[in-house]
Amino acid sequence: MFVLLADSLRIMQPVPPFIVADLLKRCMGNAQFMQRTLAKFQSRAGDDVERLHHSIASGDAVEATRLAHSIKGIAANLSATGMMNVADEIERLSRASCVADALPLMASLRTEVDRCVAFVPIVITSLEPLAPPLEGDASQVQRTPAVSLSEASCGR
Amino acid sequence: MRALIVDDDEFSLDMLHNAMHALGYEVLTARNGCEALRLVREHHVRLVVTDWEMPEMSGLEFCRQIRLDDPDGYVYTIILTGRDQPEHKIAGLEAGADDLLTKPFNPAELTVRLKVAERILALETRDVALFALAKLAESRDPETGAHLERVQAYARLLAQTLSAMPSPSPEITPEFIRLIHQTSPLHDIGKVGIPDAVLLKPGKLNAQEFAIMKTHAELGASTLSAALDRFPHARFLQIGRDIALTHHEKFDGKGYPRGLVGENIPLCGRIVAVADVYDALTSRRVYKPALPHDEARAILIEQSGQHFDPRIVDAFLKSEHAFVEVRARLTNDEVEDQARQASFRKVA
Repeated sequence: MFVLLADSLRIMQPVPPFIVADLLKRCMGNAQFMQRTLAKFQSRAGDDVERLHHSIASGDAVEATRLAHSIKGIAANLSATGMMNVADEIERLSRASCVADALPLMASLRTEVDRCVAFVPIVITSLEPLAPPLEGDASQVQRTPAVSLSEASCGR
Repeated sequence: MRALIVDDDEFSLDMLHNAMHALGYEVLTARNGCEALRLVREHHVRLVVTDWEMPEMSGLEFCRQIRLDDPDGYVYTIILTGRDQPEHKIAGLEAGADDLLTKPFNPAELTVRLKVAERILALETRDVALFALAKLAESRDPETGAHLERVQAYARLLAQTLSAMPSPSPEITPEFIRLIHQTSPLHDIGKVGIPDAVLLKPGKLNAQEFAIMKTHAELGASTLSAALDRFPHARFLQIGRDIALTHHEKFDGKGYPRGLVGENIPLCGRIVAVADVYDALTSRRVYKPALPHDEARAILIEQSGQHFDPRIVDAFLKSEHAFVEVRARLTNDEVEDQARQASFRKVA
């Protein structure tokens, strides 16, 4: 099941921003739970990145470390390698109190997070044969990102 | 089995909650070490999976606190962390964790690691067997009621207090505290070999009877030594034997069976001596009433340096409020009276 799903997603997107088969395994094969998890990610990713940007811009190394660590953890759970690597580097710099050096990396992080967020509706759609539409939580899943994070953060 | 997962990040917490629930665990969750410690204490949690990096109390500190607390049942602790260097593993294990698992968790690895945890926790039935053995010996003695439980609690309190005093003995490690709690109920196991006419005599013993009664220390130690011959590296048996043999030794050398002096008496024996005597003094017997705490306290102080190791009497004084609480919690006069009457009827 995981292989078939992964194959179909590979056709849709040449280099997926996160590995769906890994995530589904980590969700213990529970497609509904995976949908809810992705919906949660979709709804909080923008805020997380903006809060991180704010803490870096204001030189708050402790908060920046904490937020970068949290984003890295989410990326790791999604098996989103690109997002995880950038978050890891931002965390490393923040932990070393070099938050100013982390600022240029925020653009890369936004790009990676945008890719993941944009991929969520595709995954949700592909999961529908495995899991019936969610009640309640379904409304939280944005089928297409309303505004990309890169656009939303233009000029900051 | 009930398990507690601790992570300050909701996303990670949800993922792990879902996985462990799917594996059949009853899952509790906490967002930081302080909240987790409270849940461990209140819900008798046996299995914990915790994040390393958390606000208020880190996963490492949380592990240390669990080991210092030494709850009644062993708490198996797994740290889930992105830190996978050898020095991180050493720090985690030194803090008291039993295992470390790399983040993000691999479901198959999580499953087998949890099975390991269950196997280790199953070994704790050994402690239940030890306690049952001690209870069997105690069941012949009508006087004792919840004596074993109280001595067990007092011995642990003393060891914990000693560990927090300046320049503690290097012998007092979290493992020692756990072992003294596990094995202190064995202190009177040799009484199983004392004839009924002596053990159940409702009154003071004469010299000859007292000489017979005193053999219970050697009897208990030889029973546990026989087990040690078969499992010579079993620390709990070594400590159990030392306690059984030396809990009637006195610091000034006037105790029995060997007349050991001062620190020649194993620390576990010196600790259980104070715990056992305090409980005997504050418990009712057919030949004496229960003394109030203050009178028992005065006797312990008076005997400091004679019967008892002064340092352990100091530890008693530092923790005496906790002694009073244990006494109140583990006293059931009605049950004790019934047990006493039933035993006397049997003797008659």
